[in-house]
Amino acid sequence: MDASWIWLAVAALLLAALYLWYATIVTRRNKGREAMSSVDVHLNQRHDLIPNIVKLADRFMAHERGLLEEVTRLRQQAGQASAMGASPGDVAQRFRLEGELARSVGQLLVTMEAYPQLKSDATVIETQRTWTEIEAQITAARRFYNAAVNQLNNAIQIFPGSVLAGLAGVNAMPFFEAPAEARAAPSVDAILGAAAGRRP
Amino acid sequence: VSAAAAPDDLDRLEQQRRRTLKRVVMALAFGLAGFPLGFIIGDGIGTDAAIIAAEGLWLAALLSLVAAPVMAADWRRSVAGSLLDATVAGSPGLRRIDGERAGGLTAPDAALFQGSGLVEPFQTSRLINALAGQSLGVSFVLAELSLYDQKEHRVFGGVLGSFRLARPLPPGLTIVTRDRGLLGNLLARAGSGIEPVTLEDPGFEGVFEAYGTDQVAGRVILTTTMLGRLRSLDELAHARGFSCAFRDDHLLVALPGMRWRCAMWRLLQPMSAWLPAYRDWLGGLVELPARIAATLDLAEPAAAEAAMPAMAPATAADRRYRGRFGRDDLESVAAVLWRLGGAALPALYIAASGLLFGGLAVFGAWYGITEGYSDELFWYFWFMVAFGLAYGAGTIATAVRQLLHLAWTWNAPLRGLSSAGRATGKGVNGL
Repeated sequence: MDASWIWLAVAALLLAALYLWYATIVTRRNKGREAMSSVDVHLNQRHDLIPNIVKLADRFMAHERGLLEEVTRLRQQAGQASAMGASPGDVAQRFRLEGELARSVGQLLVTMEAYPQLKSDATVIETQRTWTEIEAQITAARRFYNAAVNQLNNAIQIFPGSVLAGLAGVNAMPFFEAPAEARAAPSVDAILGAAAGRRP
Repeated sequence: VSAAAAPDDLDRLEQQRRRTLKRVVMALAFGLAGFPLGFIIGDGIGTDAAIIAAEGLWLAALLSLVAAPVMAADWRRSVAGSLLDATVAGSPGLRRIDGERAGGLTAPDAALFQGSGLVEPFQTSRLINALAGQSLGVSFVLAELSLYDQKEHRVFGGVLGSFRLARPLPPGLTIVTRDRGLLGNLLARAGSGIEPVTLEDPGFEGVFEAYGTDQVAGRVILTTTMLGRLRSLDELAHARGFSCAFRDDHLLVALPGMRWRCAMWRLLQPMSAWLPAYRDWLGGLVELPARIAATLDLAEPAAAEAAMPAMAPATAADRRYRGRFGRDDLESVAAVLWRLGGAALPALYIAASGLLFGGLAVFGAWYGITEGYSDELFWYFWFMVAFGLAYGAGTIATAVRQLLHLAWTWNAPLRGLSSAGRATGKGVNGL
């Protein structure tokens, strides 16, 4: 057999492998986008719930004004960030803001526990239950997103994926990580101390 | 729940076993001796009356051979039934349904399993035994049954459990099945619209493979805590080899191959040698719904505060019986062979017919080309050749299609699922 045929076959195989790799990158990028849209849906649910929480807290927690304002400000910033582009930098910035927002609202809910009027209010109880459900869904959506991002990043950071990703205009996406406070083991003393300190 | 075997109860069961054994042995002996005896009488005497007597003897022998396994099966059903009834009597809120006595009773909640990804599509079900009731505030049905397809071939034999959950689940279908390895998992879901749910627990993924119609809903259910609970359930007595699905407000559990009746060969063994272990095993089985509800934390909060059943680890009885109640016993093998024969033999018959007539047509064509046909018979032969070739090609294609369909649907409950988590294909119309 002519050697040129062998080279032609090798080149065809190489091209097919490169195309498959390219197709994998594009598929995984689309999966990442799908996961991101799931995250968006649940984060929007969180944003929609926050004004209700703030309004409820505002009735009895006038002297927690600083915390309420911080929650409102962070919600506004997170809302603006969601309207920004989908570049990795923008997404990372958005996730950072969402992390801070979740931390602040969590702090607000813990503080609300110290107010008996709020703690026993049926609307507050229902709101807290809804918050817990939404947070569970955000956690699930985050796991879906991180799994998709992990697969995408593996495909585009290993050679020749890095070259193909450059050609396809696909960039590595940031992980949606839990805020540092959420990863730290909770301190019972700190929680009880903070609650006791705020008790009216 | 399990109770020690009362001596008089043991005596009664032992007498029943001996009586059944005696009848089975007599039926087998008569069945085996009847045929040669019939020949001796018929051939030896040779009169019309002797021939009629011999034919009667053959018929009686045949009936005896049929009756022997029926008597043994009835004994197995009776022992399991009486022990389950005795065990259930001590558990308030729990009842046993004797499917065989009820005659044609549809298995409770069987329709929930249609398109659940746990069992192949089925048309009918035959209930053998069911335990139904409430445990820790969770309504459940645990049924020992067989499922059959349109052609009456058994597609599932074992135990199915459905638990109505107190808390609603996210919409969609989430399935947890056994891990079959990289290639096995790919083949298991080939052609289906359902996607794997990648989880972050290598220990869990070494045992199970999760699928879902909604990636987020699947992860809402399969939290890291739930993954740990499912692994605990896998270690729980009786539950080894289980697969489950979360659908609407139900948890569905499948335990293929589990059989509550004792093995046929136990008829040969004195009851005192195995009854206590068997009774304990059945007692543990009655506790299984409560254990599943407790292990997976499905209980209603108020009920959960009530006394939880002890999470007993697998006992020697469990291990002994779990080994016996596998899917490699005679009944399961016979069901597989029956299904294989029923589905594959017609295809092979069609293929053989196509090969025969198609082969003759090829030979006729070769003869016509090399030797030639006479002018008078020219069109007649070539018409027959064309007809034979078309018949051969058509029948062989049909047979190949039937065999491929059989291979495609065999033990592949996931393949029939659409991306919406509903069963697709013919013969899937629920009960």
